[in-house]
Amino acid sequence: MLEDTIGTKVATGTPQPAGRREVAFRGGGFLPEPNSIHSWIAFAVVIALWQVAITRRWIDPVFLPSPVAICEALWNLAISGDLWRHLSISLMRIGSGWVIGTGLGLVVGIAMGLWSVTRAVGMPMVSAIYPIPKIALLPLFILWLGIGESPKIVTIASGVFFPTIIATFSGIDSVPRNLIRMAQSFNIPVSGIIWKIILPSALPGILAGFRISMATALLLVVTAEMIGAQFGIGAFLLTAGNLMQTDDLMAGVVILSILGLSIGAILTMVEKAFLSWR
Amino acid sequence: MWDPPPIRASAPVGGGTRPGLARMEVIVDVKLHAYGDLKVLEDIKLHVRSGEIVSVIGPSGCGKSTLLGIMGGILKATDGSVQMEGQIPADCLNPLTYIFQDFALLPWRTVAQNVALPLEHHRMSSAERTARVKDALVRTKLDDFAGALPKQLSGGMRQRVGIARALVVKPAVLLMDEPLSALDAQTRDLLMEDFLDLWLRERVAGVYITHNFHECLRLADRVMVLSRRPGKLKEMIEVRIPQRERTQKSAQTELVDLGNRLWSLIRDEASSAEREVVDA
Repeated sequence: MLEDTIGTKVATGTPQPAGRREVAFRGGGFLPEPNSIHSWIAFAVVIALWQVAITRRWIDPVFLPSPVAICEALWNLAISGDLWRHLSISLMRIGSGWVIGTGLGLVVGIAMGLWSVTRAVGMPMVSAIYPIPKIALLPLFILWLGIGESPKIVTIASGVFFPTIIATFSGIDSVPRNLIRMAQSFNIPVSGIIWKIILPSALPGILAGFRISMATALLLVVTAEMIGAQFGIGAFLLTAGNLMQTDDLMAGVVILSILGLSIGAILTMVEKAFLSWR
Repeated sequence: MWDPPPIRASAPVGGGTRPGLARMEVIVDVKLHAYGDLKVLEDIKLHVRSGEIVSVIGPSGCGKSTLLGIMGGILKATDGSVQMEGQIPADCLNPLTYIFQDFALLPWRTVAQNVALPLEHHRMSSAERTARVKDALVRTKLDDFAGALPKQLSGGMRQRVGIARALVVKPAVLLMDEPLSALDAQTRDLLMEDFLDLWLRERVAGVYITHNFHECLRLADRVMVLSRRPGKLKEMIEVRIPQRERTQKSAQTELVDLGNRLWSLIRDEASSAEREVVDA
């Protein structure tokens, strides 16, 4: 006997009786459906098990603090003002680095997407520099720009710059050529073709690139702050780790998770606003 | 230089042209079009007369769409020229206008915005732009769907948007690249009749690329048969029955004969072309 996708037993090899009979339903399944209740229940179960494991001392709280202890640490951070002090400076670095890197990346990506010469010039450079972990350049940026905000922001910008370039020119590459020919057939000028056809058509790819670049910015801000900063979520995490304050450390991790989720939610809203036609 | 043949008084363009309407002719003389060593078109001479529809038919890969691209200035012939003759009417914003096989609609724009696209780079008042769009939507029976997105429309309705977008510029010559081939048979028939009604009112000249004998014998005044690649003019067949009479019983015998003649002209080459595509 075999079992099909919905669990119906299917006979194989056995002779079937002659005459009229129902055709068995063979479809169904393989259709993921969003179910937020299950998500929340699973989340609550994991948190509850985690809390029980700490309370019963199955896990040493020095290595993994309980969810309640993490919440307490978060609360203390919030009322002391430390949370906002660290978070605000990290957000400033992410925001500045991301805006600069994305802005430049869009310009270069559009130029590489539109013109063969810029692509021929830019492609080897992008291919050579993109794989370098940008955090490796931080000491060089510190050497060039001094210690302060600039090297951290430039590190984030450089990390965001390359994925934005690649997402942008790939998005432009994927613009259906028939749409461009259609616009040309109506004598729409080049600027009109770029603004009305190419950029809107490439927007899904560009916004997908934004997701990657935002994740990169988050990664780089934490790493850069761990290397050379007094304030910021990365610096806070490093200090907490050095002092074995695992509840503070986990509170910092939770803040990063919430930050990542918030950025993702904002990007989803942007996509819904601009890509509602899909 | 090749001299286009004179327009014959008996040419079945029928029905009379609306006063002030475009009287444009297109004269095509492509000696050669090739992609590298691959010759696609050779010795194509075509004179599209004012108000007539010339259908181009031939086996797959014979260069029909390439020919249309050259006619519309989207492709440059390796050796040859395309000329327009006649006065471009004042309200015509794009004398040679395409209707595309795959509709080529912008999915992020509504029907009205898609139709308005070709007007946006022309200087005109917003009232005139709105009036032109509305007129094109009414003529293509799309006025109730002005705010819909292309994804909300059926294939037939999408092609209506493509036709409305072509009409909004008041074209002198319509270049149609298998405009009905992406549609199901019923929608194709319905849209073809609507298109014919529209054309009988507008009487703009048209070049209609198709694989479908039924379409070309329903719409065309002349059928240009191309040979297998490199596409050459194999035969030009005139359909003398006026379009209005082609659904009548009396016309059927002649149309069937013409259909058989067309099939006999391209059957062997179509078969060879298909084998070539499979082999490729």
